[in-house]
Amino acid sequence: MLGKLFKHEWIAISKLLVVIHGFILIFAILSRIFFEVSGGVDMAISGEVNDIVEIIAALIIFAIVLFICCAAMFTSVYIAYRFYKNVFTDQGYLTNTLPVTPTQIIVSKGLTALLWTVIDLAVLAVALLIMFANGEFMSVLLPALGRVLYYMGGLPAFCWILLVMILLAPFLMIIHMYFCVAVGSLIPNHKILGAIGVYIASYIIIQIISTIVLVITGLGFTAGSMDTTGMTSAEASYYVGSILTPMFLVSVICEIIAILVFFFVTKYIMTKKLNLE
Amino acid sequence: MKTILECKNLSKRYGRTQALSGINLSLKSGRIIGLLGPNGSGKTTLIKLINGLLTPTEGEILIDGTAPGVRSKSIVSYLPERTYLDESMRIAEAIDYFGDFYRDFDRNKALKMLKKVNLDPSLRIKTLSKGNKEKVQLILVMSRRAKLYCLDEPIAGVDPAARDYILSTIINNYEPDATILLSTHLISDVENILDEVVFIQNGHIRMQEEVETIRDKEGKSVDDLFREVFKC
Repeated sequence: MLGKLFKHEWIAISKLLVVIHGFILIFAILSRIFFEVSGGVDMAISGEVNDIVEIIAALIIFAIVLFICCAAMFTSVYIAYRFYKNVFTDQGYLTNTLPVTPTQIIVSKGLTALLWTVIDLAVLAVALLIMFANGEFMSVLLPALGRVLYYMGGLPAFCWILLVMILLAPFLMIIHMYFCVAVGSLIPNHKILGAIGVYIASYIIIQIISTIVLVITGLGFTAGSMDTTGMTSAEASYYVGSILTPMFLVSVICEIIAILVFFFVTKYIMTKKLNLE
Repeated sequence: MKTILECKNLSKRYGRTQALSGINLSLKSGRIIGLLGPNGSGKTTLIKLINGLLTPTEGEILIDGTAPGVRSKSIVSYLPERTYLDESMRIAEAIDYFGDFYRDFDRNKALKMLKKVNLDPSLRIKTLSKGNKEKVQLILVMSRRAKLYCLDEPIAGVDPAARDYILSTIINNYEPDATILLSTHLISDVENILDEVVFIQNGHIRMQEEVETIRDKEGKSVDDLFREVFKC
């Protein structure tokens, strides 16, 4: 059933998101054609061709940055809205009476959302490459990427923990939004407003808790007063690692706890406190 | 006859409002049962509890012997009193959706019924009139070979011709060993198809009786009896 839920969620959510991200890619391609016709990005921006080309080039760059930011924001908001609409409004009468568990509903929607968050980032990167990449840029980028992979083998522990933190971030973002929507749904007649309120309140609480954790463990103070003056690079690396490793480790543990809390509260509300009007 | 639904001391409270109070109810298979009561009597609450959309404050509810959950949802076909389909879907997509999730869904039966009412499966649900949206939902719900059909106010807010269509669709498309629980306050329209009635008022069951018994013993129609019981 999880596969079927995922399939239908994917079809439903992709209808709009494909159009939006497709538009960005088409815009990037058309912009690149414009730049090529104008003699290259550098020429167009520097105004060496003429002033109108320079103005159009500036507008195009402004527009693509705006589109990319809007698409990323829209993708996040749409993920939350889709969860709200499909589970807590009239559509919830069908979603919540399917022969599936609330866990399967959350996981299927979460995985679809996660995939689209990754696609959104990929489209952003591809759009920028389409617009600006040239042979010279790629000849630097590709060996650099290869070198990153080579150096990853020798990365200190705190970098790996940081990587885990970064990878967990989208999970946290999505389940946090689901949590806000679920708690907001408990407020009769003001479910969306409630979800926004819960988002702001929970965001502040998370910040306070992480500050308290860093203060209690003393890691915040140590990290703030790191001084590597007079150390060799090996010593400095060891010293920085000894401070950042426990700090990042505590952050990862907090992230995992937050993900679990958000998941179980969302599941509890869907199981016991469903408030369909 | 097998018991398909059993409520034991079932209560539901919303804050200070007592929606259902200590309900004891047992429904057998193979019956068309009217859940009758005035607005706000607890009909929808009871149906939501059966479908697992609400959890009881006290007591328990068993559908074919199990509490509401994945198993019960696979044997209960539910028609709420609102449009619950994603309106951006085409009718054909809604059919695929039901076909994917409900093993007892008969796709061919749904397509035949759609053809009968001249509804093209390629139409988007949001482009349909209110009456046609209700017909599509009813067709989807009645195309399942469920053990219990819960139909919440299926004839409210539609014209008399649509009412006839809805009622004939219900009686012509359910499995003989299945039970239909049909909630309504429009008694006269449904009383001819009912085997049994459950009168509900202020969260209490006032009466559970065979329609034939009401006619024979009381010498009244269900509609007359309803007006008498619920006289304001």
